[in-house]
Amino acid sequence: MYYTVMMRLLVCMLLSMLFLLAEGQVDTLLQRDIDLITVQADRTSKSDSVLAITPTTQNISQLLSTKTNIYIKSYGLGSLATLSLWGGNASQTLIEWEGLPISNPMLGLTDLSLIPMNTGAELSLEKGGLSAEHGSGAITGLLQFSQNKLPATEQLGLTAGVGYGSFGQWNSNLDMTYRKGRFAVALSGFSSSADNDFSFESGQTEKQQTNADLSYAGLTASSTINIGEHQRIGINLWIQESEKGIPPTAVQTNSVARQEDITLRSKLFWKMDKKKYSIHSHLAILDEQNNYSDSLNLIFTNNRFQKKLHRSQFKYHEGKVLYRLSYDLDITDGFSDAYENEKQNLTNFAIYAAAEYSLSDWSIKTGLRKEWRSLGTPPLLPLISLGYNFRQVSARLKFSREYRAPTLNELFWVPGGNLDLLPEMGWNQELLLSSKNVFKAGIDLETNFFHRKIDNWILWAPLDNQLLWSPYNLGAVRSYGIDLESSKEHLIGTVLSRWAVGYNYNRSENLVELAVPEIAAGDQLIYTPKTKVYVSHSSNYKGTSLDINANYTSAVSGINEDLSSYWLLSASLSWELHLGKLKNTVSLNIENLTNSNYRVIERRPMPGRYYQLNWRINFNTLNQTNNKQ
Amino acid sequence: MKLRFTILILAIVQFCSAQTTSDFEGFTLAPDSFLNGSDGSMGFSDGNIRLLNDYNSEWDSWSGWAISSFTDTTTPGFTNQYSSISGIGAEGSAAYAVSFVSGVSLLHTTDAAEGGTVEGFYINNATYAYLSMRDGDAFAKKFGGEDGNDPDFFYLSIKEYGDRNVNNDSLIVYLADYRSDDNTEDYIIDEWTYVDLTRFENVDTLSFQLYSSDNGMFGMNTPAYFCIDNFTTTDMKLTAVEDVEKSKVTVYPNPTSGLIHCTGTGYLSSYALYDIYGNLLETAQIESNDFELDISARPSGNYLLITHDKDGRPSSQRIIRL
Repeated sequence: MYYTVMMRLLVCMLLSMLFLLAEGQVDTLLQRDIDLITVQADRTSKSDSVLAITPTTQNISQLLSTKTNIYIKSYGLGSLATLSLWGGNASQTLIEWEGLPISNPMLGLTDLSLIPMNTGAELSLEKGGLSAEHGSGAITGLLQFSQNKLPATEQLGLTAGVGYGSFGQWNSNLDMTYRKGRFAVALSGFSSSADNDFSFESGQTEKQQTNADLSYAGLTASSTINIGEHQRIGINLWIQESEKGIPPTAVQTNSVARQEDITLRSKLFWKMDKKKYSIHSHLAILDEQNNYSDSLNLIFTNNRFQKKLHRSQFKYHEGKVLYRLSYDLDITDGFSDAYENEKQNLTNFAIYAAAEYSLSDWSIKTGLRKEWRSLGTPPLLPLISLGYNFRQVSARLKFSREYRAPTLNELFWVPGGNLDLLPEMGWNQELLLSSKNVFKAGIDLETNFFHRKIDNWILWAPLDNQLLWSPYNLGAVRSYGIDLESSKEHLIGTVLSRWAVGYNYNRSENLVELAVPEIAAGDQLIYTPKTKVYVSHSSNYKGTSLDINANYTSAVSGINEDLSSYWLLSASLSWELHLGKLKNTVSLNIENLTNSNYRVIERRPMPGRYYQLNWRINFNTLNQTNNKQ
Repeated sequence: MKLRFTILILAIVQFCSAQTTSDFEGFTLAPDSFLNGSDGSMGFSDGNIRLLNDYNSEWDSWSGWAISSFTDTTTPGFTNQYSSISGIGAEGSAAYAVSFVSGVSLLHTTDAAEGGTVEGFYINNATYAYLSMRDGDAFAKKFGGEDGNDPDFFYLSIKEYGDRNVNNDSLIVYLADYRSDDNTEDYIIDEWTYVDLTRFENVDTLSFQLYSSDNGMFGMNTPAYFCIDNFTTTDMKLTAVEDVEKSKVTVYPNPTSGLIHCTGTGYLSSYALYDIYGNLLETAQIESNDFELDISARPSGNYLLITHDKDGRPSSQRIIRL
């Protein structure tokens, strides 16, 4: 693991340098450059969409599956995990890191199992159609996260963590945050490995999973420098190398397939904030390599993409109107043995203009996005949103057009690629009702009603006279449902308690009857549960916290068979001990507490009850020296 | 005179009962090589049979039949699609035919065997299908399922087309059978096995279809491959010794979204359209060198078009309705 060694060396060098820096004045003007807030400006409620990262959070898919009603399509512990939101598929929810779309443009999806959650990570989820604001792939929502949190005040913080868990899981991290004067930096080096050789029930026998190991190591960094009173520049960096086995299915004797991912994501940004206007511009390069090998089946593929992005946003505030004007330029090169000349390119340019008008109780937002693409013609994407506030209740009605452009593989893969593919597109309607302090009981409630119809749904199907598959605009899908989230915080003596409940009912129906794949009109999409529920309770008493989560997923149909509904229960206990400027955190996480036998994907076994123990030690110059445990 | 007559009768009987075996050795393949129609031949003629082939030059893919001398019995997966599980042909020969069945694979009897009785052939599993059924793969299940008790099966259905009609009486050949309650009786064929076809008479075309217990929304998961060798026909017609050019029909566009144009090398008298299950969908008299057929109202899939020339000689084409 070349990157593992390099990451550790780099962390040590930077730490050594920064230890030598002297203290300076606190620059209170500097705030962390958080894109999360920008994109949620039209949200009635902001706080509920920001997800809490607990000390026991291992990766993004674990967090989403326990703390939201998102459906995570997991092929098993350590295996591919993608998300499904409001009846959409994995390529219809946009995933952004530091404001950059990181979905693989060749596949159109992001493997959540390869995204670690660092100590300073932040994550937010915005549900609903966002194609006008964010372009292709934001049909059902936007998941944004950052890996490093820059400190708001002058300080030096160092964190080291180590974890051990069931099935040979080891993880470690070394993080640093530092702010002095106009300069701030946050670094995180991390590594993780697991055998994932869990036992599972297979028919009437117990078997052990094989070739399911996952290991990764990497480095993330964020840094900003303040230039004058109103400007700053900064960088974000994410380097990671991952390797995993592709385990056999429950009806497969053996698999030796391996997958290696090498990722470099980097961004340089400049931001100017004035009283009436702001400009935010960034340049970014995403370079990802995916190598697949199967020495048993003699399949070896090497795929890579390089994506160059330049994006700028101008915001101007005049009276009660906020104007936005932005443009995006994405140049994507895909490299694969399966592409003609082993390389294909897609270039996309987009302009988005919006105006938001706010009165005391009313607000209206209109926006329009126009894209030009080197292949195909994206639709014009309008949106209009009306908001009304009445006491503690606010309502927002939104109409928007949504779309997803075909991926590089869908267009260019040889054999099968279809240059005549049209983008998936359709109309989306949402009604959001949110209220604070319902019944004056401190309960926050957010209810979303949604409906959308997407045409030209892209499906891979076998060609009639060939073994090979090809993507076609075969389907049309209507999705509608209700998404409800509620939370309540209260203090009982010195115990802080928080309840959160989420419920999602979603119908996502095929409208077109097809012979291959065999789909009847009115059928619910495969791997799309109609009901998803989560109940979460966390409590904290003097640094000791207990977190309990219960999740329900209703039955789904798969490609070959139907899967039963299941409940999953998880719990975590963490304990903080302060010793001078050192803060120790020990946490124990138990997943699948009831040892439920379940499967998310047919023929893909899932583990029973398993554990993880973490120890994290943090040094910070701001830590109080006389804290009691 | 009596002796002469007796000799003549014996000669005729001997001639009528003569057999021709298609062993595919005449293709003189080098070891571990194959013919998959990439030369545009659209099929392979050997002895008195012709195996039809569809080849897509854009994607270098094929369906129908290929001729192979591959010997790999251990590599699973698509990359080993041309091997038989025995690693050789029947009775130790080097070459054999492999079929990838996309809907249906077709075999014509030709020349002296055309319209006559076929004797039989040897069949075997392809390595790809055999190992997939034995061990499972990323798409298909291991036969028997997780606990070994699933009543799985994989069989070949053979139907005869003769006298311008399909005989819906199919011959079923199990390539794997796990249906017994006694798991020790479960089997997957791994050696060349003789299939008797003498029940079929007046054969001008045989269709081959595969069925498996492992199916999903994308169709059959078990790889749709099998191998044949030493296909034996009975030479019934005196015209067998003549060099008679078989009626040929060109169909375009194919695949089609509806309207197809059919052009024969000679005068065509009739056509019949069948679905892949052998059901006669429509038939008509033509009396022309060419004709048009509109199948736009029919669902997507594979169809079999059989035409006859003025002498009653058949020609069959697979039509793909997009």
